[in-house]
Amino acid sequence: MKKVLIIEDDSVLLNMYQDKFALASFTVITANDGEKGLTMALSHQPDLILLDLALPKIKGTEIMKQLRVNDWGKNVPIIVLTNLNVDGKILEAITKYGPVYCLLKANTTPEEVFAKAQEILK
Amino acid sequence: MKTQTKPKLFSNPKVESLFLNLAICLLYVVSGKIGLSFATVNPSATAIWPPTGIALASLLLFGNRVIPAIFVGAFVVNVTTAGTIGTSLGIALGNTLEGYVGAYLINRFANGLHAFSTVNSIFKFFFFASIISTMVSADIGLIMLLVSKLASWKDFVPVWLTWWLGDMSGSLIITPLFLVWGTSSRLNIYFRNTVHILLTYFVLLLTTWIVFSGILPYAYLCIPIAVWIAFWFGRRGASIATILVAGIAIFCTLHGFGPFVIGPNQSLIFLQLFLGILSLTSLTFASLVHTIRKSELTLAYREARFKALIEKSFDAVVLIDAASTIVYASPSVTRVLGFAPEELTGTIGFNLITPEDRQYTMRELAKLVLKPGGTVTIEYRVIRKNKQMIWVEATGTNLLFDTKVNAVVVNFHDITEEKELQEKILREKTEDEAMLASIGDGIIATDNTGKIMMVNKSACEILGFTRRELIGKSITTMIPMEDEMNKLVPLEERPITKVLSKRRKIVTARSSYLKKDKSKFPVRFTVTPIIIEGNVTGIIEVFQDITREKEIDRMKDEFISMASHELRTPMTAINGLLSMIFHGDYGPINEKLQHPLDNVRISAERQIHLINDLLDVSRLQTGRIEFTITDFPIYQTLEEVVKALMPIAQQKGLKLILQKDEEIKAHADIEWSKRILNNLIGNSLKFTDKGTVAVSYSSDINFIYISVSDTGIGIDPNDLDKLFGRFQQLNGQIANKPPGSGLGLFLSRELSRKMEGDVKLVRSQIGKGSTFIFSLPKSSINNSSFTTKKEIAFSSHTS
Repeated sequence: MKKVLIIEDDSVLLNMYQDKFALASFTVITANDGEKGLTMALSHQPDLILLDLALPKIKGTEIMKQLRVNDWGKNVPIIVLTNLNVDGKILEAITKYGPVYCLLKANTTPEEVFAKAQEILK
Repeated sequence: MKTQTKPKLFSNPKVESLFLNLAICLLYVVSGKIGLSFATVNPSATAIWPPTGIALASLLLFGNRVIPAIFVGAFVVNVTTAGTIGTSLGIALGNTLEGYVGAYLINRFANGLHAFSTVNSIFKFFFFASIISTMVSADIGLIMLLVSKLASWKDFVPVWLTWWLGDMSGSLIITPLFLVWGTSSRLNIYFRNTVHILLTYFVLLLTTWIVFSGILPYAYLCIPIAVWIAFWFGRRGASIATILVAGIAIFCTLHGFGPFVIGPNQSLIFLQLFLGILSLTSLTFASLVHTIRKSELTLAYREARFKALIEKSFDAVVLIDAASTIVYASPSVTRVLGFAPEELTGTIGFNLITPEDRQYTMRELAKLVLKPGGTVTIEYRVIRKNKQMIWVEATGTNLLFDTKVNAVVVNFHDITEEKELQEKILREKTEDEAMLASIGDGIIATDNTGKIMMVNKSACEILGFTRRELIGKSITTMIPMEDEMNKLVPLEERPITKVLSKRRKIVTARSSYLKKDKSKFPVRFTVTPIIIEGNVTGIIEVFQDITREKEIDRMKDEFISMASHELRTPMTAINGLLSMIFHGDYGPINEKLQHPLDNVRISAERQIHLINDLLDVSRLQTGRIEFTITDFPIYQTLEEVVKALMPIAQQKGLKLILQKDEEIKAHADIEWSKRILNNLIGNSLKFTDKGTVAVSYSSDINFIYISVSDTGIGIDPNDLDKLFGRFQQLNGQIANKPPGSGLGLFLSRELSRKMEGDVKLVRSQIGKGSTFIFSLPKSSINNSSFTTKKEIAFSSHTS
């Protein structure tokens, strides 16, 4: 059973993605700020991380940076889910910390996110 | 008698001299013999001695070359009368010396030939020629007579006196006759004159005869008639009158008649004295009259000329005294002022001047009066006779101290028209300047070389220069321009250069200007060529500092961006949850809920669409959209978009056709291109109820043209301008059509332009449909193999 970590400060979205992945028999763990997210990632070592960028305490890009210097963390796939305009500096930061996939939340349904996750984990 | 013309008769001067001497000699001898025939006190001394006058006149008229004639003549006369050759030679010497000395003194002191032209020289002639020089002859002659015992000492006084007085009267009676006739210009005799002359001389002759025949023996009766002749006929008339009187008087006296009959010699002496005085008097009078007439003539001529000058002059002329009383007004004042000259004479000149200008003109006159000969030119207003006010330009010349004028001469002319024109120009100029100064936009005018001719206040304020610093300088060196990339725009790319060469107006807001302190501000300007008679004579640039506008734009974009992000999050939840509900993640959907849930989904999708468009516009505006330019096959791309939209077409029962053409590749961002195509084709489908939406493409060397044509509702020509505006939804469409974001076309065009293409409406007719053309750069790679878009880990934009 695959384990997914969802780091998202908006509780409605967090619940939505949690529901989607739980329905597909994933083990879902969640964090509603960056600090908790990073701690949980390192301690639970999930197979996939859904990561928001605009997070309290530690920003999403900082979490990626920290994970990629960790032995375990340097290969964990990340799907960035954001509503920010992904361009310029943000895009640069995201691609630097690959393997990473970026989805614009507003343009993507939970099914599409789930499909992407399955594709990555295959 | 024209002695002066005689020389011209002989071509050889020597022959001429010879004949002249012979003639004078002959005249001298004849007159001398006649004179001596009246001698009583001594055969050689007579009271009647014309040769003295002949000798003097000849010497004055012809100079010393006639001395031989005089000497020989005198010798002949004497040697044939009495005494030896020796005494005759001596007397001849005396006679010659007398003439020589007389001529010398006259030439030296008494005007020479013109001795009888003024009263002054007449009296000098009388003194030097008649009194002094005649003594020479009398002295030498008498000594000769005494030496040769032809006279005795007891006769000394009467003989000397007779000799002297005879010579004196000879010079007084004969010399004037020769001189005045010999030097005067041509004589004009008219019929009226002739009668007058004959009558007058007849009266003279009659009176002389009456007097000297002894009927009325009062010699002074001749004087008024001689004076009358002198008055009317001048010196020439007077000299003839004297000769005539002398002839009758001598004849009568010799025959024992008349007032001077005393003794033979004494009678002649008294007669000669009388005749000499008569000659002197009439000549003096004639000369006086002549002088007066001459000066009168000159004066009259001058006055006539002056008057003509004043009266014919274009300027009006008035003469005023120091208190501005008009003493003379020229006829031309009527033209300027409407008053007749006589209406003005005697009035005060200042009364004509308007009260406003009176003080000023008074001051100017006061200053002028203190400067004899000074001139001043001023402008002032005067009131014409018809009460109309006019402007005049007047030049005053102070001739108050000039005894001939005794006035200030004021020339003036009407300058109202010029003045009004001048004032109009000044007024317009002031208005223009005030207008230019009050305009908030900077305005710069240059000539056709870019040299700054004019700047307004705002231009100076915006740029930080003073007007003086800019005028005359080159606009391109004084005001450097930078483009959007902060690169200095070279001279040849400056809008002004293009305007001057292409003669077309340029409006742009994409550059920045550098101020005097080198700080930069974004500028929007309009450069317009100034075309006069087909030539570009310069440009006018109107510009604004748009820093604030740019700032506002930036803040607005930031706001939109922020708002979009904040709006997206709840929409994501709504959309995501709905999709999960429809997917059955939360179990089967109650049948009653299906319809409202559908509506929720449509609304949510539209909201997302709007937010995305808003965000894209904002990113586009702030320059934060990035383009990944690649070469991609156009047909495949079109096929992909059309396929995705096919369900919508089918749902509406529309035909959606894609025409295949040659395999060509576009050189652009494939994702943005798809977005544009989605927009255009989607729009066509949305606004078409039946018929076809056709997509086709063609190309030329540089561009691919994708045409999207429909049979939809078309676009009202009135709405064309709004078509590509932000948030534009055309009025007619809103009522019964699904609303979009209103940003679609605007975004499509802006995106295409960023890729150096464009979106244009090429055909539209209400009720018949529209055709849009989306152009985008063609790839320079010709072969059909293509590279796919560079892989980036980034999801596509869905719409």
